[in-house]
Amino acid sequence: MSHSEPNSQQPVEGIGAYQKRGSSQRTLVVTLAIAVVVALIAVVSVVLISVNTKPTPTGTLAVGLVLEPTNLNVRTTPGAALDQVLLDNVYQGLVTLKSGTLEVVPALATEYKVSDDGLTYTFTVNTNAEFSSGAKLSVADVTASLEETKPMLGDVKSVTSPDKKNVVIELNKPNSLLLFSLAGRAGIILEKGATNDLNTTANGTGPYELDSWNQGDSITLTAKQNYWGTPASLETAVFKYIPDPKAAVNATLDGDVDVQTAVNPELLSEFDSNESFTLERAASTDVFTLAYNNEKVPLNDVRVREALSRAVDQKALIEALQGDGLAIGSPVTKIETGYRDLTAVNDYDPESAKKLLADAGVTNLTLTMTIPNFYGTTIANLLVSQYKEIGVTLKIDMVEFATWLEQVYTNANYELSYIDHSEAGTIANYANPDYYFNYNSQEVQALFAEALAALDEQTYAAKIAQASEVIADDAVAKWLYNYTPTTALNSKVSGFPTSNTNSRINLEGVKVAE
Amino acid sequence: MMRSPRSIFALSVLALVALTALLSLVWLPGDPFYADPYRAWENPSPSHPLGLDGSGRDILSQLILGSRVTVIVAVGATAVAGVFGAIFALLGSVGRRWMREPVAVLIDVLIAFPTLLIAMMFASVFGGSVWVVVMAVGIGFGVNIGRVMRAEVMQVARTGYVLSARAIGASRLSVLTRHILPNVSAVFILQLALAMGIAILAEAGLSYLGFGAPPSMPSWGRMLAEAQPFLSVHPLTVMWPGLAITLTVLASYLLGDALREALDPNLRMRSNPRKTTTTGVFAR
Amino acid sequence: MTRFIAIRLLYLLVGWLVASLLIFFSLRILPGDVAQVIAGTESTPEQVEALRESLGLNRNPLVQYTDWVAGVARFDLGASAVTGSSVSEQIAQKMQVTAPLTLLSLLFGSAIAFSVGTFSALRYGRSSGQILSGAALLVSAVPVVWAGMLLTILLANWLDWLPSQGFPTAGWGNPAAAFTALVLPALTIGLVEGAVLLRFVRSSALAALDSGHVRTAMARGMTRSTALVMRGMPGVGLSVISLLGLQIAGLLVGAVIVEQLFNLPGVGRMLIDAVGNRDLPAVQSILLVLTMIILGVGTLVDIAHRLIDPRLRTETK
Repeated sequence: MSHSEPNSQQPVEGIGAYQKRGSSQRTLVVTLAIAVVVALIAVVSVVLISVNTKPTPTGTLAVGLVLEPTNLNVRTTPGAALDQVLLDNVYQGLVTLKSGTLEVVPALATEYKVSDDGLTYTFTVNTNAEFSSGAKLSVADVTASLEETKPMLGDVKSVTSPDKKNVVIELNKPNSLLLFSLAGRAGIILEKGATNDLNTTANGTGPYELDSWNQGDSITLTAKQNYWGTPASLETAVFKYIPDPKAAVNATLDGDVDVQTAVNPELLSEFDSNESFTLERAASTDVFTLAYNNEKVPLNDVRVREALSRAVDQKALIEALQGDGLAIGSPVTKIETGYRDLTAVNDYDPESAKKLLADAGVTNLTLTMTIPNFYGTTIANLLVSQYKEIGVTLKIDMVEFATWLEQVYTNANYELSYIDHSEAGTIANYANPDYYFNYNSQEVQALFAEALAALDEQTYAAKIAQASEVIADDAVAKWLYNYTPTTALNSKVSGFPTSNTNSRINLEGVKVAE
Repeated sequence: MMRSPRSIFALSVLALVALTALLSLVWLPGDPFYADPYRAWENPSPSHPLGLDGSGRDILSQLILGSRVTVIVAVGATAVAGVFGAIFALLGSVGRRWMREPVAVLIDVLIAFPTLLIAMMFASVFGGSVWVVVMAVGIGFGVNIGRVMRAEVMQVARTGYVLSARAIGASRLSVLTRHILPNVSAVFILQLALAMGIAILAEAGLSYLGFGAPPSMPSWGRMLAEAQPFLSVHPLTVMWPGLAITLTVLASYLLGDALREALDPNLRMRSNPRKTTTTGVFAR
Repeated sequence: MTRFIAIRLLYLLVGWLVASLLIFFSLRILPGDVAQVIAGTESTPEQVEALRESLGLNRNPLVQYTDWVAGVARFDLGASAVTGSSVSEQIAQKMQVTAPLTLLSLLFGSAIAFSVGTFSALRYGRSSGQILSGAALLVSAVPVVWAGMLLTILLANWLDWLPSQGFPTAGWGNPAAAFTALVLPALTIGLVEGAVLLRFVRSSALAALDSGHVRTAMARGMTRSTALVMRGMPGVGLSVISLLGLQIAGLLVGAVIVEQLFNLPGVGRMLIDAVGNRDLPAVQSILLVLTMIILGVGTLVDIAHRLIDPRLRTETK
């Protein structure tokens, strides 16, 4: 190795040559260094100059949320993240849900009538309402908007306006969920012919206007001048997105936010013995669903699905959530119409689960659960442990949401899937054989169709309850728990809705004491 | 050379990790997957010497099981990096004349792609797994090795010794195997030891971002990631995996130093700045 | 010489082109697409398809590629598929966090590296020097994530000197809060990166101690440490600073983990979010900008070398 000179002064390309110094080369190195420093200073000054200098407004309500919408387009971007902030506050429909409930009440319609056959809905439009642009609401806005969202409203024959006050929706067949749909995203009325960019701006009729959206941080709403109805109770409302659970709790404790929705259960103890906060558990329609691919062997065997359902100890899961959940036995939650307590169906019973697997002739079962990576792992860890008790090996595939959408939701290429079905009325998905559950039950489909066609609430409720029983008996999925998140409220806040805040946060009547 | 205190320390730590991984195949102190939510975050006790995690699982058993991932990542990524590095280095230095510059350009381009991005791509396509870490770090650091080794080989190839060997008609291959490779092997092995440390660090970083091993396969990086949100309430849980990673990485760095001194007396006195590969934090 | 520079610049252009190809086409392998993400779980396949069409995702990839590259050549990085806003503007906005964070980390890192590195070089062979370089090695073996956690426990949770996470809503409109929000993350990178750099400084300083002009200075009556600091370190410093110039781009990307850990709205977070949303127009432009910077700096350093070292000038390729 004597001829080896890796330490010699002979330079090679790259970093190596820096060790050599000479006066001319030093000048060059100095020049280079100065150039780098100058470039850096330039970058920093450009950055500092372009900084936005908005002072934090005072006398405002700051609400801490977890999931930020990807954009503000209410027509193309589904998801509760957008509804939470914009529905009711900025955008309105003909009808809405009474704050914190699932009860339909008039909004932009002063009144509405439903014909006895359930086929004709007549809405009287409040033409005093005004868009942020200053334009008055007209029936043309309503018909144009509903024409646009027609595919999401069910079997609509026509949307017409017989005069300048009324809008008539005619259906091909009765749809008991129409009003509910109109109270949601599909019912939002936009100004006809407005050319504002829906992705980043909002031109609604609500009591608040979109002030700014600081992506990755917050959305700010301000009270609208000359609102047609009861004026907004707050000057400014800031929705601050804090994905990290601990940071969210800190922000609340420090007073940076006044309300924190969905506090991470494991951090609830941080609010103990702190009298300036109250904790409230919010009822919700969120059902964390362990879906089985009903067509995939051996999951196509109802015994195997039952076994998998009976292996899950819901009490333990809810314990891990520090009590922020309710046991549930079907996709219908307590606050929805047609709820029936089915928790006893396929309840925790590892012994019978083992027996069912043996009866089905399944041994050494290994299953993969696909789960979007924004969920914590505690529940997944518990499932691994509980399945091990009945001899099933559960593998966990954590994927990005985009991948989950493609593999599970679109292509139904999965065995087990874990996701929060947060919307109300998800039972409809079980009546859809093309949904990713791959569950095809004529009975459920017929019952659901009858529920839709129901002309009164009682019939609807009865049919939904019946359908949910069949779904529970078929063990289509394991409804792990109904998430009832805890909201931490600073004591100076009053009137904040405590139900279903994962879906919408109506700021009506919310006050902050100074 | 290998008997200095630090090489003894390095070898014992690495051996301990390897043995632990082997041990985990046949014995574990408890069931690492048994989760008891009623006992979540329990403090250390005789039955659970390191306590329980947020899902109520035995931390010691998980730590022991997690050493498997460390070993797989360390060995796998180092091997992949070595192979990639060697191929790039040789093609770019003593390969056909026309391919040397293009390979150099390719190395430069690839070096601009941080390991993290490669991992992100792999994880998006195949889902997070140990193999994503192995391949991403292997390729990412392999390019680095390629750059260092290419420079090294070219430097040796210009020494009088090699030039005279060529002048007296030694074949390309024999010059390569008899004169060039023996002279760059020390640097190569040093790079591999470095790769091992970087790979273990990268596992922690990638698992933290969710590109590493899935929850059903405990790893030290994942343990860190899972405990992180509860840092302020349960600080003890992040200590064990963090310590385990740091000690193992330290051992592989020390092993690298010891190997370098043992293999190349010229380097013994002090390290050459040129060989101190600085690695951006992105790889961790 | 001119010829060399011309060739180098040509290589740079080729490098950029290769990078753009690699970025564009490897991103096209990813499963799922932005239309699906935007449409979410409550949409019909027809809606998704319409969205795909309106976003131009159905166009021939080659056409998409040439459009993109032509745009970049005109300094137009395109618009995000998700928000529709300009990618350049978004990057500029996120840089308000990432650029100061990177600079501050470099500052902390080099402060640690230079002070401790010089000191331990002067103490070479003594126990204090050994302990210091041992400690540096130990710190360089700490994963950044863990370093961040330990510093958070110490400085935020126990001592309560610094905020543990987040960035003020008003950004630099609230300079004091913005600055303190960056201290802990920058310390995290600075400490670990400084420990790596320290070894480089130390060995350069050792070489400088042996060099002619430090010895001359000592012969003229300067003490060893004064001679090193006054005569040796300027050279060491310059070479280290140039090395830092090379590392800045890497550090920019490297802030990803730290931004995630400390919940900072920077470029790294933007990149991760964009990949998660399959917002390929945004992802590819962010990646290309970063790669172009890294390659550009590399070329500059190469040319500077050639100018500095006469031996390289005459060497035949």
